[in-house]
Amino acid sequence: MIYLDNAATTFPKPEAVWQAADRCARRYGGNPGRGSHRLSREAAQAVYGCREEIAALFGGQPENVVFTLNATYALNLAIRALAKPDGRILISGIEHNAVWRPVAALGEKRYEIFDAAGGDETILKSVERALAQRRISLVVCTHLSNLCGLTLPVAGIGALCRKYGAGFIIDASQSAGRIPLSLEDCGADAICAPGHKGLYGLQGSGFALFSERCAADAGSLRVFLSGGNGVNSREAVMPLFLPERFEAGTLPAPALAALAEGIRTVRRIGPEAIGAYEDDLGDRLRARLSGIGGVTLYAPETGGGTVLFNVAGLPSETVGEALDRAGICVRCGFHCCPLGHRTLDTGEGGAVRASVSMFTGKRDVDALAEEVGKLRRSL
Amino acid sequence: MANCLITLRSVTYSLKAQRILSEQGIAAQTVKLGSPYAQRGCTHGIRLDCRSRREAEGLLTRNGIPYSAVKET
Repeated sequence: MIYLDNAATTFPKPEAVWQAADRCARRYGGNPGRGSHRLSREAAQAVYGCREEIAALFGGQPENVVFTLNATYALNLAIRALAKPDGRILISGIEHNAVWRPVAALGEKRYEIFDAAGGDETILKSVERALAQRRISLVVCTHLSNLCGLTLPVAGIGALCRKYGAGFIIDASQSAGRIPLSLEDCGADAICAPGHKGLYGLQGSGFALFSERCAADAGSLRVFLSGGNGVNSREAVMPLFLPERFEAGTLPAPALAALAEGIRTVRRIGPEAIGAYEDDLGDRLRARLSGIGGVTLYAPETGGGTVLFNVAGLPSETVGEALDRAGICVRCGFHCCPLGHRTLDTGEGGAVRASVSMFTGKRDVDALAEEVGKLRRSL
Repeated sequence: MANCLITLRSVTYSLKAQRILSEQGIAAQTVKLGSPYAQRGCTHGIRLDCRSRREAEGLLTRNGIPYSAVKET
């Protein structure tokens, strides 16, 4: 089996990740932060260790890491916490539904979309124009597209948000672990990411890392979910400080112990090195696919380890099914990103997406290209 | 040898405090606190040798970790 659906979930994981989850579940599977016994303490230490790893990777404070089920949950939480009742929200034209839907849920007239095509300079001009003219109080955008290698200039956008006093949330779902990202350098109020993609954790782990600015004023941030968390338990309201203001219910200690190991692996190798390796594989795949008649590549100039394409005469799902029969896993359709597909002109039929990880080899991408060639010749 | 309890906001802050103290050679243990230490309900704190109390308080303050009470146990 060849797995090329890593933009959805990386697979496999480093061995240490599986071992950490197994060890936690078997040996110290108490409820983190609740009991006064050893198993609860050890589970709490594993959870805190994961906070430290995230803070070390993105340059924040461990106590400002709020754990969630996934990036979508983290984005919902951060958007609702930082959206101002009378302010408008600006998002990009390549956002995943994890951003578009929670923003749209606040009101159709509450948000607008900037064009993510045209290069960094054009993007920054669009963002500044919106910030200066249209009462934008919050900008939410992805760092790296889930469809191709398109990245947004988050440091520049963050600087503009600071200049105009707007909040800024980065969706690092695709970039975390692949592209270096610093909370402070980007001037972001929150970075949201899943644990199960480029950080090589397990499903069920995600987080929002908030800035010190947000932490200092945490009591004013709107709570997304309420419940028990072992803090101030005699009170009816959630604590006024991070992370417990936003963490209700039992945290998934085995998944977080695993995520800590995933991030340790990423930090040891380095996101830059992982990204470069994946970019090379993406380039190799694009080069091979471009040599097959009837194959259309989308945004190939953006590079990256995620390759989007279609085969003439075949719906993307048909291509995916054929590849599955050949033992190759890819993702087809709209990838929960209709805005991005519209931008890339694949909004009607979607496309086939192949995405690599640090465990993908050259033979894997060559095998995909070979199968696509066979498929095309069989038509 | 007397022990002191420092009450902190949560288990997260307690583990952070424990880490900071440990890096400076001060042994501390995270403990769950109930009545009478936690008037607002469950919370956590750290237990340490009272001889390290003053140095520990200084480290917590310098690192911006709020603590609400220090009691000898």
